[in-house]
Amino acid sequence: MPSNYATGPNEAEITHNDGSDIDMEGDDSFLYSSGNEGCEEDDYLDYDEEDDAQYSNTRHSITAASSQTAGGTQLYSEDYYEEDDEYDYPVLNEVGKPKLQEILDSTSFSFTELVTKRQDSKIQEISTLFSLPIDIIEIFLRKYKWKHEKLIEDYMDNPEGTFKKTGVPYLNPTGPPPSSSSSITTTTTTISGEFDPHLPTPSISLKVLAPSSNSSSSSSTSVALNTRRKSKQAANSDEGLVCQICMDECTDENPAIVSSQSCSHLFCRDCWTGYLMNKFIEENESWNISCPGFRCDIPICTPYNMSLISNGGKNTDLDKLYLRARVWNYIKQNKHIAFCVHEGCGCVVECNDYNSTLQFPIPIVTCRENHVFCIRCEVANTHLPCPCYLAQAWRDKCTNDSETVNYIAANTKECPSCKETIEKNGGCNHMTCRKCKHEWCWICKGPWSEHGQNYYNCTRFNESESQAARDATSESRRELERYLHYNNHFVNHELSIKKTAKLHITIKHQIQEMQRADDSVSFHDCQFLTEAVDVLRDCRETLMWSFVLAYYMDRSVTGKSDNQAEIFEQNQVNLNFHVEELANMIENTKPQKIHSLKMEIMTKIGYVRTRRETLLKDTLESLQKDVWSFRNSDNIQFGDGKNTLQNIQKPDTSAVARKSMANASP
Amino acid sequence: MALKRITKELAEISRDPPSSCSAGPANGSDMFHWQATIMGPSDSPYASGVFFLSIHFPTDYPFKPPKINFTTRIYHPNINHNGSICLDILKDQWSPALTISKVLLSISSMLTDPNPDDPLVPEIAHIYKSDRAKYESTAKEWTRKYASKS
Repeated sequence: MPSNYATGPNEAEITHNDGSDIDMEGDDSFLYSSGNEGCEEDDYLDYDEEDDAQYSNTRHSITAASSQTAGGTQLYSEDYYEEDDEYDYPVLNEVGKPKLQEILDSTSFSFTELVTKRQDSKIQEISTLFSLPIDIIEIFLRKYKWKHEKLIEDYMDNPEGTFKKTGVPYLNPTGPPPSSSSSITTTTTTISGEFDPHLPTPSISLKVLAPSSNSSSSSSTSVALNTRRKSKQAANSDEGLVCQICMDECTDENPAIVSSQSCSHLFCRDCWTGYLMNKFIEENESWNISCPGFRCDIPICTPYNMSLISNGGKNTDLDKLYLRARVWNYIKQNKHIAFCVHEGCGCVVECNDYNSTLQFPIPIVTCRENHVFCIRCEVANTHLPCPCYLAQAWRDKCTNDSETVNYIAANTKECPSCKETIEKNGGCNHMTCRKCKHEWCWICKGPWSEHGQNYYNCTRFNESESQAARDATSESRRELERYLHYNNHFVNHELSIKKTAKLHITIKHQIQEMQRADDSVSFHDCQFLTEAVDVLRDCRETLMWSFVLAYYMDRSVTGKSDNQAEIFEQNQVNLNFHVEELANMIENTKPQKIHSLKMEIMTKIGYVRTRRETLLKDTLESLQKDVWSFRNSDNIQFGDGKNTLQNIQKPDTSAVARKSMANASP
Repeated sequence: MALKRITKELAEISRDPPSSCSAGPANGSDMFHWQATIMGPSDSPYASGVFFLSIHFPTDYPFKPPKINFTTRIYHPNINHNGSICLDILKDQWSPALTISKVLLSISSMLTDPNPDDPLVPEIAHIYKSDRAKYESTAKEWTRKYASKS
């Protein structure tokens, strides 16, 4: 199964497409109950294999080969759902704020609709369960970050506590709503005993008040007016209803809307709109907007209130912004769905229940624009074959170390012979101590003479060869060196990756030059070079993180005889060597020799790619079987959502795992 | 919207000025830049001082809070040497229903009752909590030095 762990665009089967908008008619098939035990949420936007043909030409760009091996040995998730790519959120910067039109233009409402459906069905479900209006459930769910199971649990335990926690005035769900709830805006009269979840809840619902001239015609309005007058602090002697924001009198076209029964703050429709638009545009929030009144915490963003403020959907801009903020909130709170982390990319990617599936230690996803990232870490690029928590520990380590320590670690070493602190200011790894003339290798600190003439085998921290040299150095220094050794490789590859773009340009020039030199060379003939650069990039990324894995791997526990670690190191050394060779070949391409070089490079590409696949496959298999133990000397923190290795590993102890345990015990 | 509301506030504050405070445009043409004065509350060490403040209205006022700074130096745990004020209603607790006159009254009451638990100048807050007499004498001295009417 060569592409079992297909990640990049190269291995994945691409059914690219563009333009056509989402066909909403079929969206019911997206909502299905996964029925997966241990799932945090029941329904996912997912697409079945059967639907592939139907949707492949509308939105799904990539079908991962691995997703077809249902129940097989999927190494990590390719089973994602990829969504519309136009759902873009303008990034706020300090200087300017996004223009309303820009936001609306960049928002895809077809995608919004899809998520909204899912939200609504969840709200409906719980509303029926609790016998509470949907408006209240909406606020509950937002406060509970859409974790409905937690909400149901809490509510069953202590309904009043849930109300208190979410800031909603308490409402007894079983009894009929109080008589005063017959809001003047609703024509339907509530029949006691009959529950309609779509009716406004007086405690949190807005209420339109008629202008004062009409107030005498409705008795309930005058009641509301009286309560309002009592609560009003500002001097407002005349009869008209004065908005507390614009301080204008409300009119028929711009009626006064009272915040809720519990606070009675009053504002005109225009000011309500302005207030909410401001919140939606600048703060991108919909879950904790409260009444604009001073020190008033009554939550107001509910479907009913929104329709009232937007005058039954007449203010389409406001409605759209609200939907957008609501969906954005849902996506941000749901760790299975994420916006593509690449700058300027608006894709939304879903990776199904990777936490509950022990098969996915590394949930790498590819978005429609072929951006690859880890959905759990939400960091650009992949960190294969390194598990998320190790990758996170490494990132923290690299950023947390103080600048001084970093500088010493990255720039100086002690001479293995005379212990003089040496800063390497350039050149190769062949070091000659100025003081004692000792010749040694910068990377492993072993004597240079052992490195031979061909190439120096320094990608592994071979404990036996340079043991003597390192024994002499202090414990902390050794730790530093170890870190440095792997960090060196990590940073080297990272730098090379950063230069990929530059290399692409160089390659482009080379291709042009070749075509000028030889008319028979077509553009197509030279594409192998571009391909080589891409392969090189992928390989370097894999190598980068394989060094991190190697850094955290604790060989003292598993023992040196451990075959898996040995194989891993060999694979690493091999890949590293050939990657460097390939890089060398690309950079030294002479236009004249294209034909002879082409075969050579093509062969190398194929070989390197296979090696990378082998390394990844092998490593991930070992990770799943939990053959290796990892150092925790860096106090690896397993934050929320980050799985410990125990969570990642398979629960059944395989033969290999038993073997490693046997190795661990003396 | 903003200009209309500011104009209304100016009319209101001129018609019914809050006690011990005054405010108005710093120069006639720019309604978005005001100058305000607060008389030091008599029950505080700032008594008999006159403190000047500058007020800048954002274009989306009143949905966003105005920017208010002391231009007169003042010795207070919640006001730093730049005149920045640490007051929740000028930040996350801002409500569009608030007005400049209410905000000025809040600042005035903050002069009487500093909030040393959420200080902008920790040193002053520490002195306020540990040695109230020293705080009061320093505040009085600063008031005499920087905020006296003459």
